[in-house]
Amino acid sequence: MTARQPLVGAAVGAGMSARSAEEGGIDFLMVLSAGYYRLHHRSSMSALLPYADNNALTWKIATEQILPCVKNVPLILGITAQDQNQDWPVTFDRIESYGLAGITNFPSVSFYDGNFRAALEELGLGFECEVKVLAEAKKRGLFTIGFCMTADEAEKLAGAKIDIICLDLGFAEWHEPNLANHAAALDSAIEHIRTVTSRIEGIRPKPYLVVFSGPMLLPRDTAQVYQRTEVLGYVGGSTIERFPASSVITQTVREFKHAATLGKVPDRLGNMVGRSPAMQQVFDTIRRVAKSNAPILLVGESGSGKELAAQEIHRLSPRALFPIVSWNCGAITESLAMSELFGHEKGSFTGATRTHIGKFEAANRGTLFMDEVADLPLSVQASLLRVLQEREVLRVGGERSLSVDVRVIAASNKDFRDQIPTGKFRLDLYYRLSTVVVRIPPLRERVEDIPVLLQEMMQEFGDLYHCPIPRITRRVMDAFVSHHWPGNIRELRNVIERCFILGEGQSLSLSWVEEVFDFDRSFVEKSGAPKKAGLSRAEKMTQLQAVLQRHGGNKLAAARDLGVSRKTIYNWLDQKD
Amino acid sequence: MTQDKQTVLKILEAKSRENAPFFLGNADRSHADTLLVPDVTTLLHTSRFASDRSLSGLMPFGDANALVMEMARESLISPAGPVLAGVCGTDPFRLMGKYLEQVKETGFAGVINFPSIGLIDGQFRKHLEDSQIGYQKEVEMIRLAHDLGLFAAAIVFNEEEAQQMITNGADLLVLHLGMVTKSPFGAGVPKTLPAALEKIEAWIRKLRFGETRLPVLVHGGPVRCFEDGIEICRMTRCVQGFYLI
Repeated sequence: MTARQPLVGAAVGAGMSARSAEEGGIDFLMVLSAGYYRLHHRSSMSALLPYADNNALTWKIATEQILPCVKNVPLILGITAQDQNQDWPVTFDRIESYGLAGITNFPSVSFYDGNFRAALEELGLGFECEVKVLAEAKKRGLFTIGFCMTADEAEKLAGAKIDIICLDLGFAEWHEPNLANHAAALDSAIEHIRTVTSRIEGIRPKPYLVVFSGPMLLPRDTAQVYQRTEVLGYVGGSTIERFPASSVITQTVREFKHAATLGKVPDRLGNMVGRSPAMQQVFDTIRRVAKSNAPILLVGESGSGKELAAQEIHRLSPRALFPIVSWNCGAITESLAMSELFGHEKGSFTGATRTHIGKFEAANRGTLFMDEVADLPLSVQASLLRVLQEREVLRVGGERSLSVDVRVIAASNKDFRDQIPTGKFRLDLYYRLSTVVVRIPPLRERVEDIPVLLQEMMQEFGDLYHCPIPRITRRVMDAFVSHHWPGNIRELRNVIERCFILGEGQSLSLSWVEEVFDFDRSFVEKSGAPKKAGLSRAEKMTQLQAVLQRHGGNKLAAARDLGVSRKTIYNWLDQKD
Repeated sequence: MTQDKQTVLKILEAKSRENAPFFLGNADRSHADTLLVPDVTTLLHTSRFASDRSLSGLMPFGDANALVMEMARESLISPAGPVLAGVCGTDPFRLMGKYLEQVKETGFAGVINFPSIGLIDGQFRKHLEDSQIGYQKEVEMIRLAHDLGLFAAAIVFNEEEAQQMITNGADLLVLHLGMVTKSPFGAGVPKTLPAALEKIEAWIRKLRFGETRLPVLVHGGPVRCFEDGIEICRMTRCVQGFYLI
């Protein structure tokens, strides 16, 4: 597991769920009778009672239903170790010959407490019996996952060098999704995990610890656990295997897989979405500056969400009850810009048939968002500077200045370090506008936000076009994450909307996505939009060679990395030759 | 194995007339240290398992209700007298009424709620009760058996359960005094016969039997063998017999 990739397992009771979980990127599957009972709308606790021969049942589910439905994911068989009618060496051989990866002691007596548990232990039907069978299986080369509920049991499993210790925090059905109780239950579970961790940390080899179910009903719950403990991963039962929608399982697994990136932090600020550290920093800055009157300069690539940021600043400011007026300064003549910004009096110029209120007046007591401010003509820059200094506007053709109380939020996708030395932008205006500079990161710098952005947009367009939400396979998700996104969020929205309009069906195919990306890349290259350009040919070749080497000669991967199309890579290689 | 409820009732009456203890025993009492044959026999799915009867009966080693029917059909254990089927009342996969009809058709004279969820205690028991896998299901099974004309023997673990079973048509109560292995488990489990006696009498005094006083047997606790059963019956008139698995 890496900081961003927890080990996620699912306890499933049906082939369909197994297939969906594999598609979602599950790391391993456990075949537990609890899944079978759940599937039949019975309590998972039935797995511990005399309603079936657990060992026969899980074997049947594993071999007849799950194995035919999965390709590569390891299967772990849930066994009742206390069953004295079982010939374990024969069972282990059979498990191996069928290609199952290993066993786990589920159902486990660790669920029992009180006198009943004590009696089981005394009669040799207790936890020791489970540890013994697991250890035997490990000796035979099978992978072993040891279920336990207490620190004592975890210690016993660690002592027997069981491969993974699965700390069971109780069946999900024991936990009410009541917000107040839920938070307390989660805290208590985390405390318990810490106790168990401290008990086994000295044991060598260091045991791997994952947690099972309990109050972790949602991916964000596991995110908390990852943040506050050292657990390696999570195994879910009913939290993952939800019927009847297989896509729900796939999506849920994916969310649990990405849970480590969720953190405790909220994943949005108003309409802005992002769990990445970069966006969290942006959210934090916005929250802090919103309450002041200071001018703000938002810098970031086209499509990165600068206007949304401006709206959030306004929404959180004391000016929220007054209007926010947005105005794009790009590609506009000087006279029109003056008129638009400051307004004009009737008859002030040919065609001025009526008095026009300018953006500053319209935004009085509110916020004026000036997008692409770097493109503002120089003469207008001078007028703007004056308005900002004097807090008064004079309409074109007007004789009397009008007081205005406007907070200006400017935005640009251009680098002022280029604009100012070349005289395209006034340094004094830059200082006036940039009391606070907020950089909105491009999408490629916050790829961990892509799953949640996708989810948001899918939902939005699904509602808009009355379509079912398409499934996203792991490969497609990988393609999304590794794409360069020169058009940022705007491009992502465009791709998703296109998918809905073109009716890509139940799932986004990898080939379709690749085609869209290739087309967009070639378009971007021709349009001269942001790309990794500006390099000399020699520098380009050196960079290309390094990237190709890193990807073992894979041109598609290199193209993604460099943010160009495959075709461009071939062109460069041709030039090289 | 075809006997009916009336046969069981006649045996109970005869025992009462003779002032002799009524002995309910399992069909394959492997631990039996006496040649005495039970007056009425129970057929339990745990005969298939090697480990302890009471506890392994609640483990997921098999489908308890299916196993009992299978054993009855195979006639591997075929006592001469009436037989009560051990019925798992909490079984979530069976329509209990239909199942009990099959039990009757197979030739069982009655039923006993075995394995009983009542043996499970602690937090897990609470979760079971919350999930509708509770003792109430066993009470319901006894009621259905009574309605079908089957003899209904009810294992009970406390006064409240005993009262529920009486109200719902039980023909006989088996007071479970607690799990016994090498040592008795739990604070409330009497360790000696006199201690058991005290508990039983206090228990019986609280019960409201109505018009007919049901026969009461004891099981578990310090009653570990035939002699213990005979002794406890000699010590008090509150109990009419004992049950050994």
